[in-house]
Amino acid sequence: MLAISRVIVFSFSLLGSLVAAWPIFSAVKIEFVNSGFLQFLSLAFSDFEVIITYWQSFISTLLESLPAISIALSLLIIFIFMGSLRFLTKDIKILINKNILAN
Amino acid sequence: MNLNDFFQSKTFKGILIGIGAVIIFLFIFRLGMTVGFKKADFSYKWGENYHQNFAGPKRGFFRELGGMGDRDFIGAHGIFGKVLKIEGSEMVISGQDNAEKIITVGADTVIEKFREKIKIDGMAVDDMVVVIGEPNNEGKIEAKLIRIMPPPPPKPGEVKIQ
Repeated sequence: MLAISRVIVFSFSLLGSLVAAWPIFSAVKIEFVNSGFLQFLSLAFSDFEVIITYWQSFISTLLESLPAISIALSLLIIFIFMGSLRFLTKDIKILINKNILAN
Repeated sequence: MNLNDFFQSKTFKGILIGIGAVIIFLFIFRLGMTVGFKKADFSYKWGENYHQNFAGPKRGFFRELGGMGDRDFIGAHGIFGKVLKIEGSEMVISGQDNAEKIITVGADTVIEKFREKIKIDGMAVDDMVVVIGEPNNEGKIEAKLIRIMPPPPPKPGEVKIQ
């Protein structure tokens, strides 16, 4: 009985994370563009020598423009999705084994 | 190894723990920035209004701690945006956080356009630039590197007026 309720809970969390993924990943993409983080990061490729000289300013700029909350939220969605998948497969396996033993 | 075994494996568990640790780190990092900003903001306002308003912030310090979004701070070390004005060794740039900032160009400032180094007089109003620098006591950014970027492509349906 516990396994069934766990399967239901984790199914909902899996579904919820899938539904939430699209708007959150879109928001992260917008945040990366609006914050200028990608533009600042691109300097590491185009002006590597200057960036090495002024690496402290460069790191500070990257940290200031890092959309931390958006990244954390998107990772949280991935975390919930992967965690749900892990527990769901475990509980489904338990249920299948119980059914085999019962039959 | 089938998929079910992979989900129960130590590798998968390690990935989950790693992601969890990064999430916690990012939230703590953001919280640190928020608290630091609020403290600095509070100290600044407290000093500014010392003679007028000795009692502290009107809404209380803890209410001031609201707002954990990503775009509530103004970057102090860099700016990405459009040049609004160039005057002598200073320029005004409208940045990514919708704040206009004054950039000072010194003798050691490197200005790059494509693969060549240029001087400030080679720059023009409406140039898109990425600036890395250090904030000074006047609230300006002393530029170390200015990279002139190609203009962004017009959005669909957008007509560029020359």
